[in-house]
Order: sequence, then structure tokens, then C-alpha cells
Amino acid sequence: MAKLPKPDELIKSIDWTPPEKDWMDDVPPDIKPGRFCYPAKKNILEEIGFPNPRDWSPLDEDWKLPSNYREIIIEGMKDRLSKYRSFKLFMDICVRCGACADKCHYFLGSGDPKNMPVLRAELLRSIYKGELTWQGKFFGKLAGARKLTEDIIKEWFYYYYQCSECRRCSVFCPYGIDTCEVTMMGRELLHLVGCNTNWILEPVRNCFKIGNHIGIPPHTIKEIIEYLCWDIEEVTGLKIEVPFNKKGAEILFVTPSGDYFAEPGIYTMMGYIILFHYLDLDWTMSTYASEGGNFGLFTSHEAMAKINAKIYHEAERLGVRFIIGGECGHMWRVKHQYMDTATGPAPKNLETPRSPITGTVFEHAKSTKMIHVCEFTADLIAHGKLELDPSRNDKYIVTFHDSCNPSRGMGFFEEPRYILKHVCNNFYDMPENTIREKTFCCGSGSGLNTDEFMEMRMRGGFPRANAVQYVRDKHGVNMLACICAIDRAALPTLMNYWAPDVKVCGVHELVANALVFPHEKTGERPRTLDMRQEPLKPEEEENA
Amino acid sequence: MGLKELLIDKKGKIQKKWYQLILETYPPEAAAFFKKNRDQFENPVGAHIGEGVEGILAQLLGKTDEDQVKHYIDRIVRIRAVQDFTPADAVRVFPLLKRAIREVLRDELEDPSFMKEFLALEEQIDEITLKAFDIYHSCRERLYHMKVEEWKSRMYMLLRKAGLLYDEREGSLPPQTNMMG
Repeated sequence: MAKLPKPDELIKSIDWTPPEKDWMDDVPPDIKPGRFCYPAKKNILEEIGFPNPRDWSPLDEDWKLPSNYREIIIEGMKDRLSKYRSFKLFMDICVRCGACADKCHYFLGSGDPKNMPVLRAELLRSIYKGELTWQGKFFGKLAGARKLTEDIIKEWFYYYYQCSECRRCSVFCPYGIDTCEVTMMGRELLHLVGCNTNWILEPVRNCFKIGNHIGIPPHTIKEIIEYLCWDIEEVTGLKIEVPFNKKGAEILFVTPSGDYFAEPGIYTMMGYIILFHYLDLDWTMSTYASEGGNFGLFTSHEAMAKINAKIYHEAERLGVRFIIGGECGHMWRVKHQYMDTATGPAPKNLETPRSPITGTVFEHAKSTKMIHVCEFTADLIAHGKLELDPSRNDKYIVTFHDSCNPSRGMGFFEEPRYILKHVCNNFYDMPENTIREKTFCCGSGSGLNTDEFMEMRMRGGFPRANAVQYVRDKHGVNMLACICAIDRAALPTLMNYWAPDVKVCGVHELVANALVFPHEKTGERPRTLDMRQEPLKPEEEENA
Repeated sequence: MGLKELLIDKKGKIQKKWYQLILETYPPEAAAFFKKNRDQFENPVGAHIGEGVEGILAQLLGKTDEDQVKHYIDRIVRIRAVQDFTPADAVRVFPLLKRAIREVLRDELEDPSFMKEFLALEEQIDEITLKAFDIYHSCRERLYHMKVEEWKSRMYMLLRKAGLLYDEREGSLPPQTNMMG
């Protein structure tokens, strides 16, 4: 039994000095460059029909809010409280036990108390109390209540864009308060008065109008993927053509656009293409539903549903039987938690996904008709349908980062690990309290992976990087695998700062490295390069 | 007893004091947490600072290995380079070691026979502060470098398609871009 402190020890441990300033009086925050994302451009807001389009900067004294901003926010809050039972509960039931306080990666990295999830939620809860409850109106500050002012809007903007909606705090809350949903509500309310960020809303506009985050038109998508097919030919000797907008294909494949235009995501894309070719799948990509990511999730429920709908529209137009989704983070939170109710029911032509190779029926996707590429591949491996040579990945000592949304948003822990253990010989997990449902965020999720936010990203990503440093030092880990496109964009930068000798990859990049084609076995053209066109066995090349 | 022996004797107290002074540069709620939680994964800031403090003191009082000193300075400064500090405040943790030593050895330092050794020690700490500034600067430089690299990675295929990327496989950049660089 742990030693209990004696009364005098307990008394000694109490710090009687009151804090210099009460958090309630400490507004507005000291807004500095490097700690906020640039506001949404005027024309972007106009194009997507969002309120209060204007030119402004968070560094300005005057944020040019509408003159009736108080009524707008309070009405918006009332509306959401009546629509979402969860929001109402989260506003009422917190007992401030502090279990969540030290679980946020932004707090752990920055030490800013307003990044404690409880206090971040309190920024909104105090206004709810002060404006909408009689206790708050009577007892004011005593009841933890405040009145809404312009400075509070500034504070919300600052802190609700310093939360990556990763939900680590909610794992530890005894009441199950999902602080992420409080952030979502905070951001929705801020949209009503035109306080939002360009990094989120320009991709939303591009998704509405063109189909993907950076607005790549169809012919460019096709050309870019042809480039990747040339690379595949270089590595494997195979000439592959990727089907686009193919009517009557069995499977529609949707992946985040980062997989086909950003590095190192492109190697994961090459992985999917090689795997589907190996299986001779009847699949297609869509140049309209050309984005798995959904920045609508970081905007509002309406925007999320609208962006998600195009996947079903394309599945219906192309007449496919089911959908496979690529390695993406928040895309899977949308699919798992909201697709059914926000965008469903699925078009009639879709069927419960059934692997054409193994015959496995994915009953859990009966309603959404969409499965994760990792469960598809894990099932193939379990049925012995892939010939794999894990020694091709021997130069890598691999660890796995559980991306927040697949892990906490849908409980997806084992499939990617199962694949990794079959495609490489050296796999080591990070310490238990930093993986699976307790995984640390990359620090750049929920639309915060922009370069102007670099300092905050490095702070927020530090707990994750610290665990990577540990396995690097202990086991020599040099490759961080993940199943999220934001991770593949943000983790290389994070590693560059905290653990420069660790690279980042998607799971299917390693699958494709290990996948043995018949012509490779006969010695006709043995594989010597990996997806990055680097030697599979660098030591042999050095000795040669 | 020379100053070094005295310092070795009081190492525990100095270490504790220095760590405490560093924590006081953070908001009180954060300082309390950094101090309380001993798990290196749940409290990485506290753990890294603690490791740096212990390592630097051991290096100062034992056999000094330059690389090791840099490693321990890095443990602290890399974090502070991205936290809410000005450059001066970020590296101020090392002058705080001077204060910790002076406070812990307040009475002993009255003895003028320690003066020579004491000045040498303070000079050593000044050197550490200067090294810390080098590391701070390299961290900040890396941040800006990363911003550029990230943009290139983000647009990799588009840049490659436009022939604007230096790539061993694709050949070098077009001449006009080289001239600009």
C-alpha cells in the first residue's frame, strides 16, 4: 500500500499563494504570431456563403465583428443547446475533477493553463452560465459565469484553434465529456461572426467546387497518378493503369488527396495501386470524390455532411458495389460516427462490402457500405492471399503511431499492427500510455497543420515525439508508420525538429515493398528498390 | 574541502533548487504539474528539463564531455525554443544555475578562499549559456527551414510536374530557378 502523507506533510504541500490573475480576468490572450492560423480570406467566405466576410487579422485591435455579435452568438448557442443533447450535457455536468487537465498534448507541451481541456471548455461554459442560466445571472463569477464580450470572442478564437479535436482528454473523463465536441461548438459559434481560418475554409471551398483540398482539376489528378505509375514501373517493372470514373466498377476507392500529391503520402498511394493490381481488383477512382479528407468536420455539421455526400453521389453515379477508403484520419471519424446519420442512407446500388478475394463480408459496414483499406488488407493476409517478403523492409525498424481519429474515433487498433507485423521483421510499439486509445496527437490535427502555426505544432507534438525518441534510443527505430494523411504531412516536420533520424510512412508503402509478384520470384526482375526508389538493402549496394 | 567537493556534497540541494527556479518561469498551474508528475511520457517537459538539469550538473562536477554537455543543454533548450519565451528568457535557465548555487551555498561562499574556484565555475556556466544560445538559434533556424521543406513536400507532385524540384532522378532545376537561388 502506498505511504500516506502525515497531516503536517499535507499542510506543507499546500501552496497558499493565490495566482497572480484569475483566469476569468485574464482576457484577451496575448496573441502572437506562430500561435494562430491566418483568418479566412474574404472571397472564400463569400464563395461558400459564410457570414461576415472581411479583411482582418487576429493581431488587429478591431476584429470587425458584426454590431449585434452578442445576439448572434447567444442565439447560436441556444439553437445548438436545443439541437444537441450532448452539448447541453457537456455544459452542465462537468464537476471540475481535473482528470482531463494534464491529458492535452498542447498543455503538456506549452504549460498554458487555458490549454487544459477543462479550462478550454470552461471558456464556453462560463458564457453559457452567464448568459443563459439563472444561477450564473444571480451569482456571476461565484458560479463560474461571465458575460460575453469582444475580448472573449478573441479568447475563443485563440484557444478553440489550439485544440486538435483529438479526444485524448475524453478518454480520461469519468463523465465521458467529449471536449472535442465543445471545441466543435466553439468553432461553429465563431463561424457565425466570421472568425475562422483560411487553412480550413479554402480546402472546404475547393472540396465543394472541385472535389479535393487543393483544388486539383481532373486532368491534373490523372497526370499526377500517371507519374506515380511510371515510378511503379521503375520499381517493379509493372505497367499499371489506374482506372478513373469507371462506370460499373465493383469498388470505388477514395483516399485523401495528400496521398497523390504530397510526399511521403505518394508512396502510400503507390502501395494501394500495386496491391490492387496484384489482386486484379475491379476498382476505380473518382476525380470528383477525389478527397477522403473532410475539413467540413472542423467547420460545421452542415459543411461536413455536404462534403461527405459527394462520396455517395459518385458511388451512385458510377454504380459501384461498395467503397474502400484509404489511410486517412478524420475521414474515418466522419465515416464511423456521422456518415450514417448525416449523409445516409447509402445509395441503393451499394451492397454490404464483401471482399472479392476472400469472400469475407464486412458486416460492421452494412449500413455505410464503406470499409478501411487496412481491414481489407489485414483480411487478405489472414487468408494467406498475399505473398510477402518482410525482409524487403529490413532496413526499417518500425513503430506505429495510432492516429487520433481511427483509434479514439473508431477503435481501430489491431488491423494496422497486424499488417505491419507481417510486412516487416522489426516492429516495436511505443510505451503503453502513448498508444492505442491513449495515443498522443501529432499536434497538427483538425486543420492546424499550417506553417504559420509551427511553434504551437512543435509544442503540441512534443509528447508524441518524446515517445518516438524513446523507441528510437531503445530499439533503433527509424520509421514511424501511420494511417493518416495529416500525420504523413505533419509528422515528418515534427520528427525533423525532435527526432531527425526518424522517417514517416503509410502502412501500405511497406505492404507494397514486401509484396512479391510472380515475375519477381522467377528471377526475371528481382526487386532492388523500395517505393522511394532507394535501395532495399543499402548495405549490399555499399559492398558491391 | 575545496569548492568542488562542497558542490558535490550539496549537489542534491542545488539540483532541486535549480529545477525549482526553472519551473518558476512557467505559469504556477503548469509548474505544479511539471513538478508533480514523474512519468516521462505523461510529463515530457518536466522529464526533459529534469534530465538536462541532472546531466549538466554531473558534467560540471565530474569529467566534462563536450558532446554530453551539448546533449543535456539541447534537452532543455529545444523545448524552450518553441514555448512562449523570448530568446533571452529561453536561455535564462542557465544563469539561474548561478543563482541556485549562490543561494544554496550562501554561507560557505562568504569564505574568500573559494573565490578563485567560484569565478572559474561561473565562467563555465557562462560558457554553457553561450552554447545554449547556439542551440537555441539552430532550433529557430530549423523551424524556418522546416516551413520551406514542408511546402515543398506538400506540393511535391505539382512541383515535380512543373519541373521545379531538385530531384536526383529528375535532374537539376531549370537554369532560371538556379539563378534565383
